[in-house]
Amino acid sequence: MLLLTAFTVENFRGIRQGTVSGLTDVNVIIGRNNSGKTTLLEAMHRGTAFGMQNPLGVHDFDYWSAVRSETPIEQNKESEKATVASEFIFTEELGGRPQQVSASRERTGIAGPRTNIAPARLALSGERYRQLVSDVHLAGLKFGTKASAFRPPDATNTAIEAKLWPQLLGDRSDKRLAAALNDVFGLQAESFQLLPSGKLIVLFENHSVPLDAQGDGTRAAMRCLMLLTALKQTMFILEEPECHQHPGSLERFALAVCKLAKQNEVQLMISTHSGECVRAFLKAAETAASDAAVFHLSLTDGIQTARRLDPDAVETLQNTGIDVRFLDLYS
Amino acid sequence: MKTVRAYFEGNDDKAILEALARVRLLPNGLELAKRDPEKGGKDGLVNELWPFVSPTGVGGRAVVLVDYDDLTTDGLGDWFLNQLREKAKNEVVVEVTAGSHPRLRSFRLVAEARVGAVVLCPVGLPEDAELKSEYGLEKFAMDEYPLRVVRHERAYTTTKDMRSLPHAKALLKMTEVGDLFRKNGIDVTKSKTYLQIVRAAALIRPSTAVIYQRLVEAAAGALPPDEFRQLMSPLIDDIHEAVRLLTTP
Repeated sequence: MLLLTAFTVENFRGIRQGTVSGLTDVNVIIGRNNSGKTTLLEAMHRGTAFGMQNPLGVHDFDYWSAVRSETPIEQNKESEKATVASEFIFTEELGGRPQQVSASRERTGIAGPRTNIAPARLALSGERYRQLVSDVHLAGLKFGTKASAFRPPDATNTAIEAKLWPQLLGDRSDKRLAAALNDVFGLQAESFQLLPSGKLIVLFENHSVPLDAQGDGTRAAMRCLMLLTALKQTMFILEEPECHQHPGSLERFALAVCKLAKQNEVQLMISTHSGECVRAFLKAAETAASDAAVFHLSLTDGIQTARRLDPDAVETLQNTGIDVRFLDLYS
Repeated sequence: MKTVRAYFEGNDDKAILEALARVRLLPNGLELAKRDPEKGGKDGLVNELWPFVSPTGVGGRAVVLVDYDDLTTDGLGDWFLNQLREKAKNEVVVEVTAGSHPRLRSFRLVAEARVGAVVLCPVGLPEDAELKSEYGLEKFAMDEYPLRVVRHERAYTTTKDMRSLPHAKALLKMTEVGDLFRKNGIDVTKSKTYLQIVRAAALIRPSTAVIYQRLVEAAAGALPPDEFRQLMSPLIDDIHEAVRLLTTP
């Protein structure tokens, strides 16, 4: 599995300089408004995606242009000035044993026009890994190409099933999705069916209901899990997953996301303003035997600071009366 | 200004600090930490403090109130430094900040460009010769302050819970029962034991922490501000000085 372990961004949107390091399997990103959470995630996505299409057939810079409600031209001009550096760890069979290799990549001008993507510079630690350059490069390409994001408006994004359903049906992931959804919401759904009209139907024992007739929480969870099911060995950006979710469902939803991410070797980048969401994902990561960390971001004069807290530290801080979303009050 | 937190050993200490906060005698913006009741005491204290002050964690600033028990100021400072170093491993450098205060010890925690800071504030009255000689105290803690309040007639009599036990009788019972304990080979070296004697003699049902809080609040209400501050000296002054050290660039 390729894992993004550190990321540096310079001169991108409101961030003049920022580094986040110690990234792991499940990364929960918190911070006040304007601390650069979305900007960091956008830079991560665009810095690794090479301007290629994600599984929904959307180019990363088109995706973020839509998120930012701006034209790609404006965005390209800005992103041409940006510099990003990514560090990865990569496990490779060497001498019959899996060994960890670290790789770093620097790019200037993230996600410019497709024809004008600056080539990545790749550096591996150690001479003897030289032969792995192409492997790492390919893994990096795969990681970036498949990288996807899910934001609250995607709860109603029917393109997800339209694009992914044949693939999910092909490997019978629909069964896993039904099980996950039942687990999260206690739905007792038997399976799903995509009608020729493009409408996704949830099938119960004696009746069926269009997915879009379900509540927003169910729709968000279903489409999020659907997209995640289609990913493998990449990064999944999940913004405000608590949106529309009851706290009880949120815990189970977080567990379903973490289990699926673990299974598919997908690195999770989750941004949230919710303390319940932080707790839910840390607990879920522990249950899924994934490593997790919380990153508190703050932005002052364009300098983004990321404080990394491991789950034990978060628990201790919360037990001693600190809400980790407000760390900037203390340091 | 960034918030400074106060960490302490347990519920009794918290009760006194809360009482002082209520009468506005603690520095503005000083936040009292919550303590896990199952991990109370000195050892649990550093575990709970570390993620907050460590530069690899929050990188915050904290005043840490720790009972002297049977240690000296230097002994307590050394114990605390060792505790910090044990937590710091090789990731954080613990620097002792030079200072001339007779009791407070300052520590700076550094990891690359990040910094956290702690001021250790020893708690107890080992220098109160009167308390030491009268009660044979050998271990010193926050309990000395409510003991002082109990010994102060006006402060004592304004505490509602104490009305069933006249002040003179309370003082008498403390020494009588303390002596009886000693005659029977039971060590009496802490203020808390004397306060428990008063609590038993006055048939007080609420917890020690509640009584401490009521004693301190009653004393604050009954005594002129200077006299109350004197009664709580050097605790209040030390906390103010510790916060000043942490917030002065």
